[in-house]
Amino acid sequence: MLVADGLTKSYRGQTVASGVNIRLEGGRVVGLVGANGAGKTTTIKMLAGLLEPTSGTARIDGRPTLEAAARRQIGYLPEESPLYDDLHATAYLSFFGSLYDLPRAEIRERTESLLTRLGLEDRDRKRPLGTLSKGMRRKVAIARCLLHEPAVVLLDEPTSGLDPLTSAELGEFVRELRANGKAVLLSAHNLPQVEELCDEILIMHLGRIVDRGTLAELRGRIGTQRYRVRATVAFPGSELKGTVHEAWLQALSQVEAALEVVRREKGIVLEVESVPPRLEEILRRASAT
Amino acid sequence: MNRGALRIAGNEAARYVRFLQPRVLVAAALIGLLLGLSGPAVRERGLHPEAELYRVEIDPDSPLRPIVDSDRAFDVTEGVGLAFLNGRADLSILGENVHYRADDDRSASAARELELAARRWLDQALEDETDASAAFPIRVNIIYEARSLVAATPTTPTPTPTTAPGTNNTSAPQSQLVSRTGEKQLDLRPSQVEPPFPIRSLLLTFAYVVPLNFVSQLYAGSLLAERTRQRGLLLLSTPNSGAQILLGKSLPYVVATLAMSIVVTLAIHAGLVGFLAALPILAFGLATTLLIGLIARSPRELTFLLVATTVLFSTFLFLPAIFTQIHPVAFLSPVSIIISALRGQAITLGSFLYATVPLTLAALVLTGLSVALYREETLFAPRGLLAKLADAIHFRAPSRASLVGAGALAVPFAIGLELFLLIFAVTLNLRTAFVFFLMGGALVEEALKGLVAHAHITRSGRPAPPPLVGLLVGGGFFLGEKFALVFSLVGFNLLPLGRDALATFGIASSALLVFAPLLLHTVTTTLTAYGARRGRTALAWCVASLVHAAYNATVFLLLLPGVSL
Repeated sequence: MLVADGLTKSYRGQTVASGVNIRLEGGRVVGLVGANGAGKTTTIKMLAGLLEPTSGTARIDGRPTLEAAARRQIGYLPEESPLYDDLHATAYLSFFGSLYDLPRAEIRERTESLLTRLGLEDRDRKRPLGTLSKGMRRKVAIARCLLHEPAVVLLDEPTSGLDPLTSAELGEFVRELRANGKAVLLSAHNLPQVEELCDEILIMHLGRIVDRGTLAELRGRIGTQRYRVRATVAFPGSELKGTVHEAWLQALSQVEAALEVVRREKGIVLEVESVPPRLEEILRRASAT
Repeated sequence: MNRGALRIAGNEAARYVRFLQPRVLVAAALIGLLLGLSGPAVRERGLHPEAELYRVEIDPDSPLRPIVDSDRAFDVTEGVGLAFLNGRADLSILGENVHYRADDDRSASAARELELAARRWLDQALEDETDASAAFPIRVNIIYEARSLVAATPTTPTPTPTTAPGTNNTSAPQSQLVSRTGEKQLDLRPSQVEPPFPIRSLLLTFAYVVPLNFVSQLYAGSLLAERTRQRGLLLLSTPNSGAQILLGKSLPYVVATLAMSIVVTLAIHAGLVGFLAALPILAFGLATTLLIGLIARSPRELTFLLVATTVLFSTFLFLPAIFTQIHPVAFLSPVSIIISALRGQAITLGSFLYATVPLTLAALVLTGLSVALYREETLFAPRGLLAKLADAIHFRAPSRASLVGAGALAVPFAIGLELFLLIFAVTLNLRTAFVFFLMGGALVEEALKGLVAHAHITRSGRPAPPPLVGLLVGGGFFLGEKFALVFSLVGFNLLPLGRDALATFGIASSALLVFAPLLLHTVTTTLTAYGARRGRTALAWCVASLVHAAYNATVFLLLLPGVSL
């Protein structure tokens, strides 16, 4: 389990992350969302033991992540995929496996299993990494981050710049990681994916975690439920769309008033849909407070 | 050694092995085969691209025939001018008369070559003459003598120049003070008179530096790529420390440099002393490359810094070494040690240490600073060079107490840079040299101490008050100077200037000034620290340097009453 307590990072008097508390447990995916410059990447780097916090600690099973031994339990995927372009995938993974002191046979076995699972074809494994597509490079980077079977996986924008299909594939892979008992931190701008995958969501703004909880909890606290009403006659706030009058309403009282008008005008209510707030709206509201 | 470092080293070395793809190997094998096949023929006949360049038609009875035959450039045929008239020859020699076509470049060129061949032939004929006195009626003995930087020192006697009877001495003594006699050139013909510069040894010593430059390019390029492409981030996320990663990255280049220097040592017969003297050069070269590779922000900046440091470092190494046979200032450079080793001359331990210790210490400090930079926080930040240096210094000296050590470790750099200034100073006239050196020395010392003070004031969360920073950094620098005192005196004594000063003033009297430098360093560093606190480090550095220069001038005038500035 990785526990961060009061993580703070300042650069020459400017605080980039402040008092960040995070708890990552096995079998759970935690989402970290926020605007650019909110401090997500700095926080992840502190969790990964790459950046020394100005104050606070990040510990994995009680051991500071700044210690080399603790980093064996962490798989870190940065936002970019900085690979060695002249190496092919197998050699690249073999090199990184050796840096974790994995036996050769184990490296071979895990490389084969990961690349197969991530859908990297045999012929692509033998091509220099510099010649692979962005999606394939990302898959190799993910394989590297998981090669040593870390207990905690820190993914910084894993689907950034990827096409929807590859993005969905990687989403599926994150689910598998959760099923395999990994503790996953997922930082992403792809909010629908965060909604889909995460058991808990942390909202970061200006270096602080301004809210946290399950999606339902966040919706309950921050977002506004909206209602879509469609009818055959006009009602207050409606717009004519084709042959149907439609309106997005914020409160139940407005819905009741609209239904009353439709009944009075002898119209037919075609649909009343309750739409929960999207994470994007929650993020916007949380960041505005 | 850490296994991770070895694996990183293996991967780094493998990058170059991967470059050796089959087609590269085939091309190399073909080139090797061609060289192998042509080798015996070249050995037998030699390489003479100029052979039979010009066609010469010569009268069979011409007395110039031996001259033409002595030069491979001429393809000689016998004739009385017919071939020349038909354009099949570039020159025609009839008796003692040489004919060429003035409007034909090739023919004119052939005539010039013939003139040179005639001179060479004549020189050789004189060489072969059994009566040397008849061939060379004038013979010369030259004795080069060291010259003092001081105009007059009555206590030192002037030796009488030794001149062989019946010979002319072409080198008149330039001053009254001679303390060390340079290499003698005896019984020479005028054409053999050469300046006593160890040109051959100097050129041989280049063999150490040339491969180092190639290695540096590859080394720095690899470090920069690791940063600009952020690959170092992934290495740092593994269970290996920055120091281990750097060790692994550096190992192949260190091994390659060492291997090449061993080969060079064996090839030029520099011996163990020469090899040992070359090590600080290689260490400093690699350490500088390492630091540059970690602070440069772009390939363009990397190239600029590498070229600039290579030029300055080469100047530092080779300029004083030119004077190896003439002036003790040469022993500021380890190259002088290598040259002396090549010439089979004795080298004192003092000279060896004087030439090698500052460079070695500087290499160690630069390596320490580089290791401090191999962190996520500093490795990828596109900050300025000085800002990164300040980051590294603060990382190494985060506490107030550690400022003392940082101040002390600035001393090897001060010595190195001041020696560098001294190299230029010896080429100037006395007055200009003094002013140049006093001001330059002050600027160098204040820059080094100021950098440490600036790093503390601007990087520390709770910086110490400027006077305390001044005392700690200035005190550290003072201690470093005192630690190097014995060593410095050895070096100082090598120089006529230092000898004169010590003779005039005395070491014991010099000790009276022991605490004056402490006060100076404290005051000037305090000034820079105040400047750093107000964001005006550069201005404060200038003021501190002026104060320091005034102090230097006072001390020198006290030490050398005969000198007026």
